[in-house]
Amino acid sequence: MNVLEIDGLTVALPAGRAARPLLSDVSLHVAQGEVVGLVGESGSGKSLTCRAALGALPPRASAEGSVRTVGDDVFALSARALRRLRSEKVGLVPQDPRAAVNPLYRVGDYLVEAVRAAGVPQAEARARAVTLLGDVGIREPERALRCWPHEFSGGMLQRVAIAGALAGRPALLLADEPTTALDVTIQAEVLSILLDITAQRSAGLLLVTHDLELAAAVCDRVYVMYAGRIIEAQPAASLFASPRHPYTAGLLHATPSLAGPVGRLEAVPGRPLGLDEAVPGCSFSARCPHVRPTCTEVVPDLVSQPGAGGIAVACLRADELRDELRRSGPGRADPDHPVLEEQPA
Amino acid sequence: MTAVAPGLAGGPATRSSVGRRRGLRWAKASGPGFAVAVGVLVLLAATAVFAPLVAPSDPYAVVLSDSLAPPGPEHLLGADDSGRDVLSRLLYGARTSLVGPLAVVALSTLFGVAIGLLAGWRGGWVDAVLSRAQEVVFAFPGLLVAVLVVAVMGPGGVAPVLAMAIAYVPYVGRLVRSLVLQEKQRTYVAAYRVAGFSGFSVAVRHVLPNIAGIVLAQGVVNFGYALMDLAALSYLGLGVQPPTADWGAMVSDGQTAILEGALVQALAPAAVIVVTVVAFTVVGEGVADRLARRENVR
Amino acid sequence: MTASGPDWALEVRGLTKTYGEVRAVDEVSFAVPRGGALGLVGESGSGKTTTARMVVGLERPDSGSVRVGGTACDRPPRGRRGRLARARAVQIVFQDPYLSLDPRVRVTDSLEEVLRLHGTGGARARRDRVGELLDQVGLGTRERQALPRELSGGQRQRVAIARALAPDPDVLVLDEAVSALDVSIQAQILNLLSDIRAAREIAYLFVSHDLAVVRHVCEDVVVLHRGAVVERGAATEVLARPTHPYTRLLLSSVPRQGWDPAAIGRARRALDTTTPAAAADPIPTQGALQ
Repeated sequence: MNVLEIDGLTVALPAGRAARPLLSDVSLHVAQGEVVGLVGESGSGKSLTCRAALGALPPRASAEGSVRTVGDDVFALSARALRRLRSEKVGLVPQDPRAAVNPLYRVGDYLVEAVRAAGVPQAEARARAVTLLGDVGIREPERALRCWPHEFSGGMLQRVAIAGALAGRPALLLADEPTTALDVTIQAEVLSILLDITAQRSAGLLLVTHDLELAAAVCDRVYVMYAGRIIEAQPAASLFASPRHPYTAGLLHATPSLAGPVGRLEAVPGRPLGLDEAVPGCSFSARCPHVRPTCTEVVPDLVSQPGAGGIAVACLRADELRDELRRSGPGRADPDHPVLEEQPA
Repeated sequence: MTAVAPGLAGGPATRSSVGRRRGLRWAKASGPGFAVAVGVLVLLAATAVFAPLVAPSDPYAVVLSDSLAPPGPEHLLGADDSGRDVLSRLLYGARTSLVGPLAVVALSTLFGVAIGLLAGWRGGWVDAVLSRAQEVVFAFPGLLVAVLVVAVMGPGGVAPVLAMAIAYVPYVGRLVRSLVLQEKQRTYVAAYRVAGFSGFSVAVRHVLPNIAGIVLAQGVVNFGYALMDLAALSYLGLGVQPPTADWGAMVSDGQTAILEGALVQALAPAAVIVVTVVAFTVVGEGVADRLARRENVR
Repeated sequence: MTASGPDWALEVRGLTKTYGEVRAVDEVSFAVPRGGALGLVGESGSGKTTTARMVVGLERPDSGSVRVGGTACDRPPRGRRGRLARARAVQIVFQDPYLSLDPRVRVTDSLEEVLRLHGTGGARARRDRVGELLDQVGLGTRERQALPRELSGGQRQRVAIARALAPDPDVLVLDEAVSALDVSIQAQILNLLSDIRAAREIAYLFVSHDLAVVRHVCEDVVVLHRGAVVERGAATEVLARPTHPYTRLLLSSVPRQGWDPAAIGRARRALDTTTPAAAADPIPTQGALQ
């Protein structure tokens, strides 16, 4: 069963001074128990797509297409039903826990409020908050409930925020850059908690990130967005070695690696665009090293590739470029690099 | 895009239109209310400048036979107890009533900016001394300070203006200090320091211009308050002295007439004061809101 | 590494800074050769940013010394001459390109004012020099008259780099200078930085949390943990064969395929328990790793 199904979502700000398209024909799905990455740079529309899953669009934006979140058509829901959806069926993990958790209330108050909003009676709310903190790996939950947010490190506070997101036993978790504000060593911990919980509860997880390597490392499938469109969808396992869209390949090449030769990076020229600035035809054509005249005339559809499971690419030259884009040089994926030796307990 | 916190500000979405509420807020800040207020202020300024051209009669011409005349073709807003035309006095009164607050705002902004900038920029003991000093001034009600100054210097135009200016300095100073503290966090300030610019030059040439808009907006709001306070002093007889036309003094003069059933003589200047103060507040806050929004965008 | 000589562009010895109870920077020493690049790696609380700020004179160290080109610059400079000399010794580029430019100053003006301060005489000479600098950082003519808000993040960072190069410093401190940029832009800026280093004799102190980036930019690396140096050496060597558990943890935290985030969590906790204070405490507390 799919816990999130976005079909042909097109979003635009209304005509007038600020008229601009934001998303064009975005379709994606997250199945139960699946971890799906949504990757893109500034202006790609990845955060907007994530928020659309909650029925939250920019003010005055118009939307076409459908978004079904845990079985509900979010655009058809009443304000009240939408609130219920958000507090009970979907868990939102914030980017910056410091901004999401009110510093004037104790951690316990924050969690009890979230649990109450999910419909748990007052009498059981506190016990449920304790359970949730246990679930996210906080060792003395009773004590933690009495703490203030400022007494927690960023990583610990992100756990609290995750606990809050779990308050309604959600079937879908949305995490928009959940580790960007955290240190790298803490990123791993927070992610492992998110992944564990997703697996245990067989919920779906949509992980929105700018970090292609991160998505490839932890997700089952990855969607890559560029200028308001999905330009590639691929199982994470194969994405890394054989990216199919020139943009995806460009991103992987542009990322400095921990192994292999040191030297000039193969930068993608230009800068990432939003859909409103996109050139005619393929919006990546202006930056693409493989561009052909036809690329600037037709917007390529996201075409499912025959054979391999679940690969789709929006590139007119997808077939020709298939072998050329396959990565020869070692990247971060290269196993030939120092692996952590675990400390004896 | 990566910097956007995943809040849910958008509210419930419909296919046609979303977030009408935010649209309303924008309309409130800069829609018809703001436009009307700006219009009122422009009209006032024009009145003050062109009073001699638009006033129907001499505001100082005493016609005892017209004492407390009701509104009519002769006197559109009636006449006061000395038989002077109320409308003409209101129009001329715009001059004294607007010049006073202007001086108050100019002086308090000048000193407030200097003190706030110094306190916020230098920090440490300089900040502590300046902030405590401002709190002392702040602790005295402005009108009380004015009454004391007038008691020493004698009534008239200058003393109340000076007193109010002093009383308003902390409002500006504290705002400027907090803005400077905020602006100092931006790394362009550190970059200029590292490039070799003196602290003074960075503070005056870069920090100050970046906070000037909000300080100006505060000045506009203060103008309204200063006008009200000066009118109150005039009303108490401590401000502009008769026979000069002044709105506050007119309310005071017209007050006795209320007992005789002539309401317009006091209510007209009172209404003008209220409308003016409201207009200044609306414009000032509207401008500040816009600046704050632009700040968020940049 | 600590040998003294005219070959060091930047020499830092025993740098220490304490805020209240917390030792933010604890006896940190390193040196960058002329035209070299040293990576200063660590996470938040490692003291890397405080170290950078002390190097450029924005913070005063409690003890220790900073020498640029053999000349001591330990305390914030006093007087115009001192400030200018310090500016020609070391410049800095900050992380967030949205905060590091005065929003009211146009691109050319922001370079021109620095040149004027440093005595590049004549409007014409200055204009030529501004053109050279902007060429070097790859900004087109269209962007030159722009206000910062009209530029993208990458373009702003180019302006910030050009401004830092304007006084022609011996050392450039890059404080997480590419961390806020999109991946495709980050690569452009990293290439730009290596071009600049090839074109003029300038040394980089490259402060970052990103090991892969440091590996591409720097010959040497110093790893900071809780204010103290835990490992140092040639970048490729340290990153290929880390000896300190913290460096190993940092390396394994970088996502890659077959990555096991849970194992990293366990290793981090194991490292924390080497700090007595954190052993029984569910909430990590600040303390020195000894």
